[in-house]
Amino acid sequence: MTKQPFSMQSRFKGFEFQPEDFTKASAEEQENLKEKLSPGSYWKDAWRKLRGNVVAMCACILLLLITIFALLGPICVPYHDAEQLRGAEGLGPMQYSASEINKMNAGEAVFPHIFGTDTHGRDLFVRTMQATRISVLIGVFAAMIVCIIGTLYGSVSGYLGGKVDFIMMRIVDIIYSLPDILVVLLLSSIIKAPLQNFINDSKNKFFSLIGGFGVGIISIFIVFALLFWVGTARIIRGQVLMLKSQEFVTAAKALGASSGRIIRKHIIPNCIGQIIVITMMQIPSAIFLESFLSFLGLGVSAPHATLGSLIADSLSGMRMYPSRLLIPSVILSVIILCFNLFGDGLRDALDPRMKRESG
Amino acid sequence: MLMYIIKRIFIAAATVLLIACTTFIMMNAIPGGPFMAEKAPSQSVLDALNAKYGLDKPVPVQLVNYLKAAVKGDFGVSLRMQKNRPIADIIKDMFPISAKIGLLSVLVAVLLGIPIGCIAAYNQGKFLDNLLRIITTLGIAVPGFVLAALLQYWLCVKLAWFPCIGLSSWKSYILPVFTLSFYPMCYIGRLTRSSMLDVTKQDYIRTAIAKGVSPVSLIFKHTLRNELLPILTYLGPLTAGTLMGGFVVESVFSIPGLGRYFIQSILNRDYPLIMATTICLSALVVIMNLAVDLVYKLVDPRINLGREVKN
Repeated sequence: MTKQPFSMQSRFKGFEFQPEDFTKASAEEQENLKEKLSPGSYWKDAWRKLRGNVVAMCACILLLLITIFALLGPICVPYHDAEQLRGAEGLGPMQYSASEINKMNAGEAVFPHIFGTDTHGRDLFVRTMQATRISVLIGVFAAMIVCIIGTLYGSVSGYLGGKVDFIMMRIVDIIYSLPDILVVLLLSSIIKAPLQNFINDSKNKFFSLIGGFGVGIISIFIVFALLFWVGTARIIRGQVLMLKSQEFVTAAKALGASSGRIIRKHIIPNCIGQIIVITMMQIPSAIFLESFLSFLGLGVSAPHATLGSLIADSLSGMRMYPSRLLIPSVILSVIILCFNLFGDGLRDALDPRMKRESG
Repeated sequence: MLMYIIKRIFIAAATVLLIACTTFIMMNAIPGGPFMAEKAPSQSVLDALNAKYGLDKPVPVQLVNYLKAAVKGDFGVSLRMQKNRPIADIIKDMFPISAKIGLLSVLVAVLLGIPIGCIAAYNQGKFLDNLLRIITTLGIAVPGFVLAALLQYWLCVKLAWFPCIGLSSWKSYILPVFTLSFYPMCYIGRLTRSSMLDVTKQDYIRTAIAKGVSPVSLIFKHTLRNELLPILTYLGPLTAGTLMGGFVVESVFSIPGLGRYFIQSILNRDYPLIMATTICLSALVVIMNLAVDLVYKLVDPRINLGREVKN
């Protein structure tokens, strides 16, 4: 072995620079290196992790399919969810009524009742799609309400600290120890009548639009806004307590930023990961609660349906029409399952520090 | 410690009082009273009825009167569901049934959930673990009323293994208890599994193994005691959950318990009954939460109760 001019053999045994080590990197190599070393933003990292999580991605795709089914499905079917078809009451899946069979014999095309019809002659396929739509929408909106209130409350409480924090947290404690389901049942039954009057009286277009879905939905939102933000508020408060002692907050304070600005510009962006994860985890519980209330007859009012009320309706005719029970049950369970799994994946991706409580 | 207990009892009492007052005021705020029937009674009859039940006085006076009586255990009489029967009587009838089913399902959930978690953690990554994980994940996703309805369809209607409704024999307890305990069982299983995996990574477990502690003593003395903490915290929400599940299960299986009665009294607007059941049920939940917090302290003396731990 010839002695190399740059040999460092004396210091690092077994390592020698070769002349190639000092040639310029080719364009391709440069590109490779850039990709390998790029720090990658928080979102890019999270996306990479999420993409690698097969279960979460499957859940996400399934959720997208269900959403498409619920949003676009009703357009493709010629029936309306509240439309009662005379003579087509109580059909099983893929059955036709007498008049429809006559029509088909005459050569006309009749859209099949894929899930059958209910006792009022309403096409269950459309009803299921509408019900899924309402259930998912309620879940998403309720989770957003919870997230907004909880984040604001938690960050204000955590940031201000001291007496304000103490009082705000005692309020949270009391709400936390309320038996929530009891309060939900009470509120939703009590709010219903005054709310109905209010909607009937008001000339505001917005209210009458929401009122069309029944007061049940509104009372569910009110209940969520009143009670369910406490968990979020606690988590966010913990985060804020941790963040506010960090240097960048001190720096912002030294530069004269107001509390509101610090919360908005420095603290909330730093716990956005948690906020997204918590919101995602709220969605299935909101859907669950809504269907629970509808099941007990306190949720969405007829003729609108949600998955819970479809299941409740099916109980009486269980012996004859098991499909009426099975279909909404399966859809509801799959939705909640997928949101759970996707939420888990999202948590792993966005917030690796959050302790995994479930395996 | 004593200060803490006193403070907690105070907060618990305040919570129950708050619920009682709010419910009472809200009940009075809604238009339409308990005597509104399809054929409205004449004004004089209404006045007489209101006077008889003390509904003609101003709301705050009614509230104070009510609370005074309630402390003595007199919740008034039912106005609609079972006319003029004392509510304390009705609750005495209903509560044991609900309590029996609730307690049984909490027991089943804990006694099955913890072993499930242990087995899964012991076989981590193997077939059994994966199977149990799939089952528990599904169990958490399926709402109780869906499970109740499906079970009723398969086992009662189709196979006729169990009676569909009522509480006639021991057989009719199986399905309600199973339905009620399924979700908490899965949840406890998952909690146990993850906290067991956490605990087994700790140094003191390695030390115990190195000392040659027998597996039985290792699991029961070193691991289980430490992993019970998260499960204990879950017991409070579990009571509330069983309560909520009780509403549904009792409705689906037509069990004459407090939960079913509560729903019916809401739908029928039987105010005194709603008030009484609300107070009883919320007191139950609040007391359970309190008890769990205090037991928590006994099990893990490291927990500092006086002040909140700042992270």
